[in-house]
Amino acid sequence: MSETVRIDPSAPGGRLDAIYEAAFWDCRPLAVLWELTYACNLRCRHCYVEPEDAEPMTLRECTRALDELARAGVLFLVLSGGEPLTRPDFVEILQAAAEREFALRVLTNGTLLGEREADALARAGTASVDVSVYGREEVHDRVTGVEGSFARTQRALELLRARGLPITIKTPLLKSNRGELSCVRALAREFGAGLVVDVTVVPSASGGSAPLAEQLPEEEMLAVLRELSGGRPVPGGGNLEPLSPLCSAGRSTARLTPSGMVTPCVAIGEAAGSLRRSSFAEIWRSPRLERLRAMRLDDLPACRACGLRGHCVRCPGLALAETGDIAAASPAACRLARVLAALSGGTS
Amino acid sequence: MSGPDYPRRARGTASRLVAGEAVVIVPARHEAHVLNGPGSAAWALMDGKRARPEIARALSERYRVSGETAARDLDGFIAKLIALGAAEAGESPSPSSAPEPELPDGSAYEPPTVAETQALEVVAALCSSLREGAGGGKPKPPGTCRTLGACQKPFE
Repeated sequence: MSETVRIDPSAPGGRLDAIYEAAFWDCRPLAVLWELTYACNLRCRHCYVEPEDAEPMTLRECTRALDELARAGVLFLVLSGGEPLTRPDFVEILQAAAEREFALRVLTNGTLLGEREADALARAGTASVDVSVYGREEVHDRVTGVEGSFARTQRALELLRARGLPITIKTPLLKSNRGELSCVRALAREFGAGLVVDVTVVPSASGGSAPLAEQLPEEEMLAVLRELSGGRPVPGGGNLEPLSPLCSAGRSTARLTPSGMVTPCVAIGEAAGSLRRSSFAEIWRSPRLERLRAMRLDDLPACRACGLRGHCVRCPGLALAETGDIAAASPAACRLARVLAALSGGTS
Repeated sequence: MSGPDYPRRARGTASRLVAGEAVVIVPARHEAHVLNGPGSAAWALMDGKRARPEIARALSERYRVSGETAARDLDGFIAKLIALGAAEAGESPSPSSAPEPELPDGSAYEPPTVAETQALEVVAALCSSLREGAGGGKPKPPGTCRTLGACQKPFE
């Protein structure tokens, strides 16, 4: 475990940021992404999800898992998939999570969201419903591989808006939806939604490269980000600092798979343990997580002397998925660092 | 209200005791609050099962202040939480089977209060690194991982 850090309420960013930081340094689990199922009714071109062999947890097991997470101090719970609403007991899980006072965020494609689900999300006090949108109707349906999916997603946005639920529209930059960002932005404005643009396409969970075919070339990514930043220089801000751990995975955040496996994050699939066999608190102390927590910049031979470090937001899990080596240089991070360096007015 | 009330967290409110301070999130108002130590203790006891005088008595014993002071300060605190949409006053005890609440470690007494309120910004920046300074001095935790969205500060 790392040293205990006291909360410094005078820290820039205030008390809440200080609490986040304390959780990070003390290795207290604060946020969990829970993939409730790997089933999905869409076939998105860039999807990285692959099915698990084991059966998903039952509702009873899910309720027990929620008790464990609450006891461990987890506050932020992200319910994801696959498509979480393919679970027939989604509403029951959501309600059980709300009763345990988690701050909830739900990631969905929206196509299965009806009045009942929208009511449940509102009752649960869901802090954000994140809905994936890829562009105008024909583009969206082409990316999802399902005709009519855009119309159903739009209907979901209407149901959410009618209940005053906070909506975030998420869109990745893909070859299949190039040029669609302005449409998605307009849609976000229409629904009063936030917009998150994801610039990185990741390999499939087992390292398969099929989703990477959707990756935009570097110069196109740069052009889009330049447009989004309004042409203003973007300050540097890499996450590779000499004494800092590599990321929050396994320190203050974790991921739970449908069958109850606990892993550091969605990109690091190696399980630290299973909630079917151990408590979350036991798993959180596992040597596998301790090893990951101990990693520092010095453990990354390809990165420690890199001139782009100040712009690099390297993801250890992505490096692992791309190269099979968590300590290797991540091609995606290198590419993005070059783009961010160019945006900041540095070299590209 | 004529009889004692049973203060409780408002429906949909999320909270957890983190590093000795209660973080309270009111999604409907899009706000996150951090309570001071005595406020965190009072919040933990506001489970709808305890009447207001019982909570005041618990605070008085825990922090060794007079019952009168504890009751007066608690009234102001609960009124503030109700105004923030974080709490409500039940007219009868809730039939809750929740376990005994975890209380923060004792600290010196000060009136229970909301120490900080922040907007709960759900909208993630395009690229969180755009907002992160390069640091210097004390190493900073890596703010975010934009790649998969899983380990972002989930509501920022």
